[in-house]
Amino acid sequence: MDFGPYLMLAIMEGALTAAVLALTASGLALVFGVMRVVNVAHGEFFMLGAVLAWWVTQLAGGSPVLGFLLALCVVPVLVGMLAAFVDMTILKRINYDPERTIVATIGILYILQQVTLMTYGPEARPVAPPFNARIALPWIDMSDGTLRLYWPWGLSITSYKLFVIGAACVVLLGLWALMTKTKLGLLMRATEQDREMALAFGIPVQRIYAIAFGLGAGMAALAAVLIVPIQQAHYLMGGDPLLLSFIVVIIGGLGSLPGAILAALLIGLSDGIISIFFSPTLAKIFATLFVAFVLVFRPKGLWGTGKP
Amino acid sequence: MLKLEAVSAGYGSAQVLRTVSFEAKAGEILCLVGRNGAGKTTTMKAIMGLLPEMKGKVVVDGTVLSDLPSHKVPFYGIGYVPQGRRLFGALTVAENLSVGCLTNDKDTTVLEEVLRVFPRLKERLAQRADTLSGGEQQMLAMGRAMCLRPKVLLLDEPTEGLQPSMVLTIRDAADLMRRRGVAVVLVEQRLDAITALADKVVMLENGQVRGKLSRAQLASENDRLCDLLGV
Ligand SMILES: Nc1ncnc2c1ncn2[C@@H]1O[C@H](COP(=O)(O)OP(=O)(O)OP(=O)(O)O)[C@@H](O)[C@H]1O
Ligand SMILES: [Mg+2]
Repeated sequence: MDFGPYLMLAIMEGALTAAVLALTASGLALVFGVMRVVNVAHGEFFMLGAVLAWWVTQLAGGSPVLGFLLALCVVPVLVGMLAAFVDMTILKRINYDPERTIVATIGILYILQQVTLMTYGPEARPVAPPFNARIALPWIDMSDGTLRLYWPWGLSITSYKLFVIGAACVVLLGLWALMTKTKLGLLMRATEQDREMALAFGIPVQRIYAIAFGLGAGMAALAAVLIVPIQQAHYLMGGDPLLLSFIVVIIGGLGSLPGAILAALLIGLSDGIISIFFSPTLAKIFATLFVAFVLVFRPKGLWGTGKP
Repeated sequence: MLKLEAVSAGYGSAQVLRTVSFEAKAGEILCLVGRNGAGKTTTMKAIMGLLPEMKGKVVVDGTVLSDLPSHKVPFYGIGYVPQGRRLFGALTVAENLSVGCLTNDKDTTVLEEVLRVFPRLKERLAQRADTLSGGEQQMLAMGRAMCLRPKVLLLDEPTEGLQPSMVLTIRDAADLMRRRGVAVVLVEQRLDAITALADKVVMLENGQVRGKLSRAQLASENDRLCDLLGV
C-alpha cells in the first residue's frame, strides 16, 4: 500500500481509539471536576460495562442486534446506579477526603475485579457486533497529473467501527448539552465551582455528587459496550482505559471536559498512527513520555486555565 | 425574624463561637462588628448551617434552621453574600443569578427586579463572572442573594475594597432591602457606614458577644465602638 492510504488507515484506527477514549476519559474528568476526587476504580466500571454487555447479549439470545441494543441501553444505567450507590455508601462516609478516596477506590477496584473473576471467570469472551460490513475506502491518485479515484487494496473500515465513532460523537455532544443547557448541568457546574456556596443557594450537593459519580461511571460503561464487539470482555481489561484516561485527563487539564476530549483525540490519533507505522508499545511509550512533558512544562494541562 | 440562641460553633477541633445570641427583626439592619478574627464570618456560616460542629439554635420565623441540612437553609429565605464574594467564577452572570433563583423557580419577576436595582449586570448577562470588575462582582453577589427574595439577608463586608461610588450603590441596595422588610445582618468595619445604616450593633470579641447597642446609644457609646474597631 502507498503511504497515503496507509496513513488514512492509521487515522481511522486512531479515530476509533480516540472515540472510545474520549468517552471513558470524559467520565473521569467529570468526576474529578465536580467532586475533586480521583476515581481509581474508573477502569473497573469500564470492565463491568463490557462484562455486563456480554451477559445481556447472552440473555437476549440469538439476535446480535437486539442483544447489543439492549446492552447499550441497560448496561450504562446499571453501572451508573452501582457507582451512585458506591458514592452514597462509601465515598460520602469518608467525606470525599482526597487521599482516603484514592485508597477507597483502590479497594473498590479489587472488589469489582475479584467478584467478576469469581462469577464471570477468567476467560475473554467476544460479543457479536450487531453489524459488521466491510466498507472499502477510496483514495485519490494524482500520479499522471489527473485526479483519479481508486480503491486501494486493504484500505477499508467496518461499518461497526464507523458506528462507534459516530455514536461517541453523539454521546459527547449530548454530554456537552447536558452540562451547558440543562438545569442539572448548571447545578453540577456550580457545585464544581464552589461547594459551600452551592449549599448556601440550595443545591443538594450530596445528590449532585452521586449523580456525577454515576454519570462518570456510566460513560465508561457505555464506552465499553461500544468497544466490546471489537475487543472481547475480560476481567482484567480495566487497566489500560484507566491509565489512558489518566493521561488524557492530565494532558487536558484536570477536570476540564473539552480539554479531555481534545487530549483523547490527540492521544488516540497518535496511538493509531504510531501503532500502525511502528508498534503499539512505542505508542504507549510516546503517550507516557508526552504526559511527563506536560506535567513538567504545563502542569495545568495543555489547555488548562487557572484552577489547580 | 432571625434569632440566634446560644450558638457555639467552630471548625473541627477549634472552637470559635461561644454562646452567641442576638436577634435581627424584620426591616432593620443589624451591624455585626469586631476585629479581624473575632468570628463574624463564622457567625454567618453558622447561620447558613455550613459549620461541621454547632450547638445552640438558629431560628427564622419559628423554624429551627440549625436542625436542617445546610442545603435546605436558603429555602427559608436566607440570602447570603459571603466575604470575598465567592461567585461561581466560570459561570456567566445570568447563570449565577439563576443559581440564586433555585429556591423559588416559579417566581418569574424577581430577576427583572434585581436587574433594575443593578442595571450594569443586565448589560453583562452573558459574561463570565470572574471577568467582571470588583464592583460588578459585588453587585452580582448581592443580586444572586436578592434573587431568592430573602427574608433575612446576610452581608459579609460587602464594600471591602470598593471605590466610594460603588460603596454607595451597595449601601443603597442594603437600605432598599431594609425598606422592603428584610432583616439585614451586615458585617461592617467602617464607622461611617455603621453610623449611617445600623439600627442596632452587636459587638463581637473572641467569638463572644461583648455588647449590643441600639441606634440611640450609638452616639454616646462611640468611644467603645471605636476602640473595638481599632480606629
Ligand atoms: N476553615 C477554618 N478552619 C479553622 N479555623 C478557621 C477557619 N476559618 C476561620 N477560622 C478561625 O476562626 C476565627 C474567626 O474567623 P472569622 O473568619 O470568623 O473572623 P472574622 O471576624 O470574619 O474576621 P475578618 O474581619 O478578618 O473577616 C479565626 O481565628 C480563624 O483563624
Ligand atoms: Mg470575615
